[in-house]
Amino acid sequence: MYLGIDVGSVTTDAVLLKDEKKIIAFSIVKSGFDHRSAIDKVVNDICIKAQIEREQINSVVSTGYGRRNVVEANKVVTEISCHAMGIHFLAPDIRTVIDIGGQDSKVIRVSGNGYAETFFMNDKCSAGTGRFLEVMAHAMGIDINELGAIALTAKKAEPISSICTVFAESEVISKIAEGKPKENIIAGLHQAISERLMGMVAAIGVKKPVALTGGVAKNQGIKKALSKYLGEDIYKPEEPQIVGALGAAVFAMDHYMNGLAKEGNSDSENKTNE
Amino acid sequence: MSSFISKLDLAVRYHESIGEQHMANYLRNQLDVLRNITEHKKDYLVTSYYVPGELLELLDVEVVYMERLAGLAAAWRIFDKPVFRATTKGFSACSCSYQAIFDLLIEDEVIPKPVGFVALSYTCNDAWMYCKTAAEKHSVPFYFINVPKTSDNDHQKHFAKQLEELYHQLKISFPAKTSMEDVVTASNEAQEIKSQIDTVRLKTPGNIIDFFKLFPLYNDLGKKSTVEILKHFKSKLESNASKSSEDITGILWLGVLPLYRNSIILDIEKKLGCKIVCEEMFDFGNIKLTRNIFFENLAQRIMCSRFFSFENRIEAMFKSIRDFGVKGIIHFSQRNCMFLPPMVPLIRKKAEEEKIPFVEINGDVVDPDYFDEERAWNQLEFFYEQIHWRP
Repeated sequence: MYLGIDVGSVTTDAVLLKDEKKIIAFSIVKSGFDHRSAIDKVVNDICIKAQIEREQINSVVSTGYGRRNVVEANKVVTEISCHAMGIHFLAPDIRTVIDIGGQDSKVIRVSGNGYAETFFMNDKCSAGTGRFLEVMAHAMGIDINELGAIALTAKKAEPISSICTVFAESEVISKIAEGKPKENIIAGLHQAISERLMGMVAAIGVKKPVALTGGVAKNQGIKKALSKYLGEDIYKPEEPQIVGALGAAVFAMDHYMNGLAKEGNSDSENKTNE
Repeated sequence: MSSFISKLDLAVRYHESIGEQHMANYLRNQLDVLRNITEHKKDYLVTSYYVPGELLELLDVEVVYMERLAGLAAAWRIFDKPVFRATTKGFSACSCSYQAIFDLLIEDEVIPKPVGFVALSYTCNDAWMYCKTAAEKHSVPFYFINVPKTSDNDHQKHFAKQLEELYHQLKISFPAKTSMEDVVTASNEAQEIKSQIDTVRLKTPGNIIDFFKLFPLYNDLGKKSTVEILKHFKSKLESNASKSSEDITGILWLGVLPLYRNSIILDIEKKLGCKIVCEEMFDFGNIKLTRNIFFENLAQRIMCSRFFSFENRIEAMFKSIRDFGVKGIIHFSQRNCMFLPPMVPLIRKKAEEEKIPFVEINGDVVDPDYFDEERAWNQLEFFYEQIHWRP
């Protein structure tokens, strides 16, 4: 069995794969300030779900911002490569991934065999990330998980001109004071975040079909706004938060298989020498 | 003695002690300029990178290339949080940080006020606009040439005429110092050694950091001391040539390098198992000068330089890629720079067409506060994966 662990800034996710490339189990826990403890928790959780012992895991690949903290990892791979491979596993036709994480967002172009061709990452700025929505939800006194559903009820999107989180927050507060409907303001926020992301998409050039991953992909309002800009429905995996960990699990499997292949080769070389 | 002078002095002695005569001589020249304008109160002109050194070498005046002095101040960390400090003195946070540091050097009286500013519109709009504003602020003359944007014969002649006029204008205030013959001889000799250096480094790419440190020698063409520095540099490269490894993944570095962290080059080479084999800054144009068409030659050199047009840069870049067998490109984009970073989307596209992995790192080369090294490493690790895993 092969384990992929994605240690992100907000959550730590893990995916367990079987030989025939079948997902056995996945787990998502909060990263918190102690990555080691989050990693331990996610591995325990996935072992319980899959009803296996840790020793049964053949290979581990870690990814994400805290990937170096996974001491059990046989290999470390960037989240850029893992997201590309993860989405390829789920939907091999996808050629562009928009990944919106808690603290950063990135656009990745994916090749036909699941490798990342190129990418664009947002600069040291929370605009276009989950953090942007979190700040806005807080300013409006709404649970972040409700934002998407509320946005879908909007009659129009209230324009938010600023993409900077700090300035946009002031703008939202002004709109609330002006008595604008909250659903319209939220739809406007989704539009603003989508515009920011579309700028990143344009920087590397879009290739369709496009997928949306990361925790923010669960927000239907964002999916709708981005689909509108792209002119076609964007693909969202059933569990968009585990795509990075899934890609890591695929790399874990490759790593193990390559190791076996090398051992096989050296065995046959030894036999030839004998 | 100011801390800037004492740090430069220490650097000169350090390089001498470890046998790096080329660096010791190069820094000593900068130290002499600094001493002349501060301790000996000699008049000086401020200028920007592409104003030809040969033209100014003809005149009896000290010349300070502002990007070079700002770079040295950044490398020796003369100011803590320079951009922030400059903003507290009214400098825009969105301006070029090289100019912010240079402005601080004058504001904090590390160097005295200059007697004039000389600028060309090429390469950088921000640079000449800063020179213009600073000249107004300090009530000193501003000498300026608006370089034509196209390089056909007529425009080149017009540009040459403007350079000649600039020389005559400056000659009114500053007497002649060096003969044109001596300047031409020194410039051509330097260009000749530079060509020999290129031959050596093409065969065995050595430590690239020296090329980053010495590329501003372009500003010193026409000086006899430059010939000596290049001779020492060439001999060092030749002696190191045998130590170079052949089996390497060669990387091309575009743009400049964080001056407070130039060791990042060695760290990248170590962590990614590659070698930065080439950069684009150590390029002097290789146009030899002649006395009777001196200004035409200078105009031609500028208009043929790799940054004059996107096409020039791309052509030179892909020549280097072929020559050095480069497997990937790293572009360091300077914060707020409106000169090189805007070309990145086109370079990225071209690299993709040529199937060469490309990564852009963003930061500030003179202010460490604006460089997120953790983020840069994440991008570099992906770059490594692209080079080694691409089927």
